[in-house]
Amino acid sequence: MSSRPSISAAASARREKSRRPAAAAWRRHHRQCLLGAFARLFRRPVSAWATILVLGIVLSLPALVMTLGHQIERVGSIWMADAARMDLYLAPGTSDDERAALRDWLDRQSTVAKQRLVPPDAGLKALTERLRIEGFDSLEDNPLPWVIELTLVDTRLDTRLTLAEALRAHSAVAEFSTGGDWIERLEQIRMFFDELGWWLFLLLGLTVVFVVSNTLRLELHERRREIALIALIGGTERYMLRPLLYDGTLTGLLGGLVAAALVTTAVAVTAGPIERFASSYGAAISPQIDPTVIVLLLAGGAFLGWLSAQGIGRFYIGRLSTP
Amino acid sequence: MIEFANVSRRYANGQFGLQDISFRLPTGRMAFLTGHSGAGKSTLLRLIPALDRPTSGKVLIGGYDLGKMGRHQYPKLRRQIGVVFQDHHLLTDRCVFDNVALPLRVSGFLAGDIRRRVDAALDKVGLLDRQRAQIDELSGGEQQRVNIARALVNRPRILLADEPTGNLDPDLSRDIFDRFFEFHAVGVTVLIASHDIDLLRQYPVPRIALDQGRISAFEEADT
Repeated sequence: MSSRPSISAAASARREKSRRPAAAAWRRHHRQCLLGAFARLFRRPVSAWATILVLGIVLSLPALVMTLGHQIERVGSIWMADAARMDLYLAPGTSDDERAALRDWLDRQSTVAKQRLVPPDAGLKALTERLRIEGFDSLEDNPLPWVIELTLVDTRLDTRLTLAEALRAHSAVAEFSTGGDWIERLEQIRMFFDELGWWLFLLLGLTVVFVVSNTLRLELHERRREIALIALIGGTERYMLRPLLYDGTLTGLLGGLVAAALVTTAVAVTAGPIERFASSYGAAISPQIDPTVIVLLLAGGAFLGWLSAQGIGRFYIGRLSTP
Repeated sequence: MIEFANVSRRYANGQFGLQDISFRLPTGRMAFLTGHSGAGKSTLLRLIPALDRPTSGKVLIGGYDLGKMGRHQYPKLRRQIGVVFQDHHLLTDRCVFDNVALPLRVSGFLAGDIRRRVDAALDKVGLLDRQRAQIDELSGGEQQRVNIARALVNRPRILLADEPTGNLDPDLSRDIFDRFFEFHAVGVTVLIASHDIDLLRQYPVPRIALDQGRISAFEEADT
């Protein structure tokens, strides 16, 4: 009984000892493959960098579309508060009782969060201040109606439509604004760009796979004697595939990096004109890149490169190493 | 142990590379495979490390039927077999050391072990002082010795050689065969394909003669 632990410990130590060199050799091969992948970029610079540049341009297209969608989202969010607002313009000559009754009714609506009554005098004063017109407040007859400013419980179109339907039955309400409609439409445009970006990413991702696979195929063709020899002397498929996986992943990653640089440059170049254009409408918009797009470009590029290497590598190496 | 049981290899064009081959080479023994060019020597040798598959029959190595082996088991089998190729199969963009070290790197040896074993293998074939030379700088005989060093560096249980003295002069050919004989003396199973009958007769080793893919004669060692 007492000898069992020592036998087990000795066996475990032996296993550990034999595993250590294998792990060290595995790490060394990974290191060699990584260095080899970098070396190949400079050994055949024209072919390697041409592929990377093509990947960068191809990947930048969906990223630009996604960035455009992100800008629309930002523009929408600036005025998002408007989407939860609704102004009721009361009919001329409404009495205090009618206004009180309407306000009581509004208090009972689940779609209304807050309400504020704006008398015509207060409205005229605010308008004068906003438009900065001298003597506007000295008009004898104030043409502005009584207004009730509503804050809705949310920004959904359904909420506004439900309330609008109910308001039509009230004779005290002459008109009402549903100011958030265009934000809803903006949101739909953003979703369209977002979806278009993903579809382009998928479609152009396939292009990336073909471009990288073709480059790696040429690399494999050049190394076919070495691969066949390694197979003959007992190299595993994984061992033969490893340098190719590093090549593919590095190419894809650098392609993603070029795409990120292109998108960043495009945004930087257009930022000035967009800011000036927005400020002429009284808005402060500064175009920015969504960090998710950058992460997606780098991770997506690396993954597509790796996937290409897996596909072409397994096919080619399988043919070279199996009888 | 290498065992062939009624092995045939038929090519896609219908021609037979090997036909009904049966023989047994026990562990630690040495044999020569003789026959004219196209007799099937290379085809037979290629079946042993599973570089090719027989159309029918069984090839057994150390009692294992290669026909029942999965492709993931081939690397393990091939690491136990050293092959001296007819056309050297050397990587011309690397030096002598890197060519000989390749089987050890593939098998996951550490740098210190690789250095020690490569030095020993190159010393055996008399090329220790040329380990940094590029392959293109070597003569045909030296390239063949690099080929042999690479086959031996992994200390294989089986050594196969396909026309190892192809275009070499008689003295160098004898030198290379002497080395094969030394490896056999330390327990390695050796099978050498050669058409150089005069050279083979100088060694007391049994000969399997092939003719048009069939065994035409099985000659015991000359004494």
